[in-house]
Amino acid sequence: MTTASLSARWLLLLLMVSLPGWTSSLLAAGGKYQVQLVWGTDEPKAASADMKVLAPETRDRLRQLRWKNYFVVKSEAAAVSSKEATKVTLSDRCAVELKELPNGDLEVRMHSIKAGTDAKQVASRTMPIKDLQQGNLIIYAGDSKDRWDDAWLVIVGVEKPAPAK
Amino acid sequence: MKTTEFTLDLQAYVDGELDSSRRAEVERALAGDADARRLVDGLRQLSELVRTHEPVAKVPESREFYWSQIQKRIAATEREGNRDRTPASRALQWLRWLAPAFGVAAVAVMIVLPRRDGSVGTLASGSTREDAVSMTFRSDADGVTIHWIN
Repeated sequence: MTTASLSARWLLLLLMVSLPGWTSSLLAAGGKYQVQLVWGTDEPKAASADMKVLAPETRDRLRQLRWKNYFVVKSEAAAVSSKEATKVTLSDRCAVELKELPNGDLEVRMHSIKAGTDAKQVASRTMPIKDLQQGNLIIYAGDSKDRWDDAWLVIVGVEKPAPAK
Repeated sequence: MKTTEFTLDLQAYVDGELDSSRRAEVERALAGDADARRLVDGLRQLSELVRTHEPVAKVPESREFYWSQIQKRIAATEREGNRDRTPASRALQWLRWLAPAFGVAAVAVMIVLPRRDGSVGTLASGSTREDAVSMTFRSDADGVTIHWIN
């Protein structure tokens, strides 16, 4: 056995030992997601100057809903892993928890927050991460409690890289 | 018209209560007795007056009586229905229950079965893990799944 072949064997052994660790760390690294709290309304203008008009490409995909305008109340980027859930607080009333599951799904848990009480999970849904990476969106929505005939939406999708300048 | 018995016979004659032989005897006697004919005419007029002018006492129909009549008619109709029930009609009655059950089962299967095509939006009811009730709308064309929370 030559020195070269011995070195090659050691390298191969090292690769085999370290491969599972690399794989798990890659999986645990997870993805980045964008979570948006959106206000759906027939009002022509946003209630606050801080709110921005929802991106047209996302707006077009809400054509099944009936509201004329959608304004982004809050937008957060979240780095999500499979190790623990990432919590994104969107307002003083709602928050979402994101977690990548071992089966390749992203779990999105919706929490309702009430002052003086613990956050309460109101819904939980999963979607394959590969679907999200292909551009699919998972959306929670409901009637606005503050304003008659309006709606709130929480839109979760894979974070898109910022356009090159 | 001599006796009380004959007078009673005349009354019975006017009321149509005599048998044929007795009626024939009275009619023969009437032919030769003007007083008896006057009495018969008077009795007929009196009978007519009583029949047409006597006030009719009508018992007021109470609410309970009205509904009891309806209940009796419903019960009678049901009894008739039970009597007429044939094996075919029994099968139809089962079908009345089974048809909605099949409908519910079909909807449940549509919801549970995985989607194979990926083109059309669907509306399906879903439940969350907690107590919020939601509807789920999936549009493959738009690439969105909307979970509506009430």
